[in-house]
Amino acid sequence: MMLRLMIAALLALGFPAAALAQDGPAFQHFRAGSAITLAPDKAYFLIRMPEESVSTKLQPVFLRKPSAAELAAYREAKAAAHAKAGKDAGPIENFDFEYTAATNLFQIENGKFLAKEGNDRLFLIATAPGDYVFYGAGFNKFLWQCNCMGTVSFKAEAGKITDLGAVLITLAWKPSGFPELAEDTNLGPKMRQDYAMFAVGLRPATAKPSLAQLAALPVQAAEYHAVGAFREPARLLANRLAPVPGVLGYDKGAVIDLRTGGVVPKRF
Amino acid sequence: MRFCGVPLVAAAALIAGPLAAQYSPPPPPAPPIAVPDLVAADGKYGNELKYFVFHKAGASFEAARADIAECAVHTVHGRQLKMPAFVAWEDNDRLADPIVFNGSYGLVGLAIYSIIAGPLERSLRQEVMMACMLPRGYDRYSVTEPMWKQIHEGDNPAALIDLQATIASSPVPRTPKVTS
Repeated sequence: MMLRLMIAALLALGFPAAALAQDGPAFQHFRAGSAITLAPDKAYFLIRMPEESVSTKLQPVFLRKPSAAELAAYREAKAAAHAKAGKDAGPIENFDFEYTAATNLFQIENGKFLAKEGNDRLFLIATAPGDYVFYGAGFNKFLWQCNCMGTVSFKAEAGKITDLGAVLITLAWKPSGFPELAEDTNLGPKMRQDYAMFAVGLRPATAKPSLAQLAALPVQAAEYHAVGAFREPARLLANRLAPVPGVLGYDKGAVIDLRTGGVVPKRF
Repeated sequence: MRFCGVPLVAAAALIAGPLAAQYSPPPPPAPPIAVPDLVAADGKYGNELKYFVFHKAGASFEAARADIAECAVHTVHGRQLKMPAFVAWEDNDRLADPIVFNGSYGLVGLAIYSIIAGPLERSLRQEVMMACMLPRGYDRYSVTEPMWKQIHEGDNPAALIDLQATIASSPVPRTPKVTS
């Protein structure tokens, strides 16, 4: 009886529909062998993780900017919880509030890739359309490091695959094989203390991957925009996203929108 | 008696009138912040990766204070967020459950920046401060461990940041420059 149950469970894991359903409805990885169909109400990320990135065991984290309705519902729930907490609640700015009615922050899972291209893993994720921020990097779905000192945003349109390019993650203290991370790596022992600092970067897509499964599907490269520094204390480390040519630069710590040349103000 | 062709009484009235409405005495100057002597009497300093002060040649106090205060915000951290989660991106109301700290403090603002922390927390904080401050053109100069604690840990984080900014904008410290 137990063997039959185990076999049934193992068979269930092989079904494409089950492979998506296990992630939950909001952020779904297409596994190897999955049939790919694009729903008109969903957006799709295509992400490349080079071997060096995968080896760090950190995985990229993305935030979908809340819709007006989601934000309103959150604010209403927070105000209600704060009122319920009474006179001991303190100012609402300091009010610690757990909210589970919606989710908009997700971590890629390195084992749930669609295919490999050379030593790179390719991920295809089904998610909600919207504006996204490259928020940081996680470990086992805990936020490890935020891109709090500057990052990028991009739009993910419904019914289309947005190719984010390659996510570059490596240790900041030693040299890296990623030329894009030249300013943010080889920083020596100061970035290799009790918790090593990571360097995180992007290599925007320049060509569609050669996967046969994607040949007939609409794939467009993400259009990145610079985002100013933000606060995120619920993690261990904070750093900047490495400069992205033509998109994100820095001038003595100030975040520069390289599309306009202007300084992007911090968000706190 | 006339002044510049104007009767003196009238001239005084002119000065006392509109100008008097605009004039307010400047605030008394703030007492200068006393910078401790950073040089170790025996020439021995703490671990240079952990115990240092920032300095930038030519920096003003105001610019140094703004840099240190902004970077200090990023050193505040707590229990890691478990994903998936919800973040109200537009509200900037992110908090984190405190871990390992003692004493009472606020989660918003700079209070945690100045708490007395253990060595693991200190190395995390220093890595984040260096990631933020070094690209802004600051150098590091060694200090002893007790001196570092005197400058960075205490009950008044704003005053400590003023002190750090004073050091950062004063003449170059006479302690060894950290290059590692």
